[in-house]
Amino acid sequence: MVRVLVLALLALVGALFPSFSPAANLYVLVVGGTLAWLALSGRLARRALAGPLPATTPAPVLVEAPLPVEAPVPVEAPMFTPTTPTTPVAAGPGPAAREASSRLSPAAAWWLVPVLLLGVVELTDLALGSTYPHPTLSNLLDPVLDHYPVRAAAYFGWLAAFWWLVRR
Amino acid sequence: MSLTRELAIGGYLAAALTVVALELLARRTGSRLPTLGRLCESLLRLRIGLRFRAGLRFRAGGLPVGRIAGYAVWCWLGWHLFAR
Repeated sequence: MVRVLVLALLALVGALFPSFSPAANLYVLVVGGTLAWLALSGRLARRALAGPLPATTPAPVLVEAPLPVEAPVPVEAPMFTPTTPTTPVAAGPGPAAREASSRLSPAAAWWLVPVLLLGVVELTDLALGSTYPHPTLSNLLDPVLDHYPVRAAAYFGWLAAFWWLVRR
Repeated sequence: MSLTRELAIGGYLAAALTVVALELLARRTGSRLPTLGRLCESLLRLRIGLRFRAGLRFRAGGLPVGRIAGYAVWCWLGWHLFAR
């Protein structure tokens, strides 16, 4: 609840700054940079791991946290691939379940469809000048985001998604 | 409204609807399709390590490229929408 309030407060303040203003640039970079730093430094993951874990938690769960430089990495972990365990674990909340869920099936390639579709339309419109007849996505969103309530809601959505990414 | 604008908006809507459809399919029981959240988690876990062989084999480091790229993209998106 406190986190939601903090994110909401950050969004309400951030939405006050109009686009192209130095304050808006500084604010979004400071907030985004802080969240990224929190995640990459491993502070949030270490706090999460410090909590009680079930006795059956497999050892590879420790690999999940962003590791400090001196931390050992399993010798047999594959290179250039996601570090995933081989032991399936029942789905559910918690690091162990998240670890087990990180192995992707070939069906995951279907997610390339919207990515490619969005990429083709966006890049085509960008190449054609990003004008009214050829709008990029940000061109379409800019007039909508000029309204404070929508801007604050979108800001909150961006921050909430960022927080979700940081906690993974 | 020009035809090209309508086509562009239609393309964005189609991409968004595809995301919704895939997410709904992924949430079906027994589906092999990962949800968007699971996909993002896997991409965030992508690491690149350096392996040395000198008598004993060990792996050092492990650059979290997935996290770095993911946070960079999300930071850029926020900056692009709210600041630039």
